[in-house]
Amino acid sequence: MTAAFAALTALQNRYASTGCGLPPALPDPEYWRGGVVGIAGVPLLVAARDIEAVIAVPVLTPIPGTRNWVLGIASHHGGLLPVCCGDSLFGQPLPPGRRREYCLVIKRPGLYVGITLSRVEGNIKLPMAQRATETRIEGPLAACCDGGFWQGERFLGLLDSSRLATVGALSDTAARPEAIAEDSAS
Amino acid sequence: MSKTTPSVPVAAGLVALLVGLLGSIVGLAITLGSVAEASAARSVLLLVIAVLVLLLAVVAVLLWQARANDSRTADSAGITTALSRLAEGDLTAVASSDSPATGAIAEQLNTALERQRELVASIRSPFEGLVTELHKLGKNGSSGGERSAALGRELQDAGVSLAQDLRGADNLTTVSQQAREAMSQHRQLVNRGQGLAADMSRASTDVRESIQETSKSAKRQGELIQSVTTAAEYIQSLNTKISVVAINTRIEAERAGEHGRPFLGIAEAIGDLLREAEEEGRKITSEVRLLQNLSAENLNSLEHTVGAVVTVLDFVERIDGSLEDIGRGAGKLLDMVDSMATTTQQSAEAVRRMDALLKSVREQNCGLSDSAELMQQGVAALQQTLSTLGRSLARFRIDSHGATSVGSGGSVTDV
Repeated sequence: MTAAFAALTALQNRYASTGCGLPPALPDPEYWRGGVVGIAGVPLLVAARDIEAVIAVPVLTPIPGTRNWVLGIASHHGGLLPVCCGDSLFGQPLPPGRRREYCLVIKRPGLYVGITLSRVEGNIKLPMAQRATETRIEGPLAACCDGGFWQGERFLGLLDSSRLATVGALSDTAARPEAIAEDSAS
Repeated sequence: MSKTTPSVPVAAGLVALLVGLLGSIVGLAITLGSVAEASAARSVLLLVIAVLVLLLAVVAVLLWQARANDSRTADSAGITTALSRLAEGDLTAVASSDSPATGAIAEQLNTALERQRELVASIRSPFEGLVTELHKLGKNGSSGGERSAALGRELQDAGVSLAQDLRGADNLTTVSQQAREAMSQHRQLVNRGQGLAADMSRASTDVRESIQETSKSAKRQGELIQSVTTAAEYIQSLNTKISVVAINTRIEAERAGEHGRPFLGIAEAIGDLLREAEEEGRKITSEVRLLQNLSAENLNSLEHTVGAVVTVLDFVERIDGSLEDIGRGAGKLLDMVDSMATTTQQSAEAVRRMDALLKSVREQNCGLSDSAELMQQGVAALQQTLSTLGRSLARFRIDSHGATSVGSGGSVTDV
């Protein structure tokens, strides 16, 4: 943390001493920029335009009669944000007593949801030459990705919010009747 | 007398023979008289007849002379016969004479013969006992010599056995001395081992205390590592929070459009710093975890070492107890070896004394053997002498049985 503050201080000092106005920023077409997160243990790239924010998992209010991957609903920026468990939605459910700390808020027409993250790595800049059109990941998340990038030996799938919106599970969160009966009985 | 008595029949026989021959020749001459061719033979026969007649006359003269001598010696014939028998050793002879001149001689002769018979009888009586005793003595001497020889052989064997026993006793004494020296060295080694066990016990106690202190330090080290791990995890969570801030900064900067571009640089700088920080944080976390594992392993190893040291202490105590038992056993064994050595020395002394006694007995037995041999030689010579004397005495006939025996102990020739 000290190093971060020192870096910020050094950056501030350098900006104060060398700052001469904003240079004309040109988009760098040779690089792809975004963030690296992990959902259900799968590393994914998310573009800034596809997500609203990465937030800590807020206080949730459970919603009865929903699937088990619906954690609940929370208040976010004055609105209601349904939050889903990324692990249960795309992989194996978490063991009891363990919870994720952050969630990815996706907001686009027809889809406003928070998905818990298994990992937050930060921003990344990747050369476009490493862009892969084929998705090299397996599992349900493969359908939500639009290709990806190779980072060394690791393949990072590029999460596409439009494809994520087409996932049937997110559009039908109602629990089955027998599950509701089990919940009421318990 | 003995020559004249048979001469009469001989002369008579000769006369008869000559008469027979003469008759035969006369008959033969008569037979030959009818044969003319035998005139030569008839003259030879006549010559032979003449010779035979002459011989017959000589024999008749001799017979006449013998008759004359017999008549002269008839008076001393009894004395002569007695003397002849006396000369042959017959003491039972009795001289008799009708003549007054030779009657006194015959009486004196009979008296002398009587005395000689008594003398021979008086000699024979002790001689028989002497022969019997000498016979017994000879037998006893022979059996004594054999027994002495057998005793000598047995004494020789006993001497060899005693020599072997003495060598065995000497060897046993030497072995006992060596065993005593070995046991003394053994006791010294046991004492040294007890000292080493005591030193090892103290060293093990020190090692145990040191390891316990080290274990406490290791536990404290583990606690510090746990604290560092907690701090590293906290730093990791802070890095995650900063990552979230950086991502949100980029989102907001892009959302702000042209005015948010400076924040894009900030977000990228934060991202670069975060990557470095995360990389170092991962290294720190990994190394701290490695250190934690090593500390746990060290702690576990220390606990095992403490257990091993406790076991070593137990073993050392057992070794010390065993060494004490061995020392006591060695002391008892040393006493037994001393006792055995003393007994062996006493046995050796007894064997030496017995050997000396046996040597003396052997010498005495040799003397006895020599004496027995000399006695046998003397007895043999005496037997030879007695045999000669017995044969001489046997010539004398002193009773009517004509026996020459020397009594119930055996004949003189048996001696």
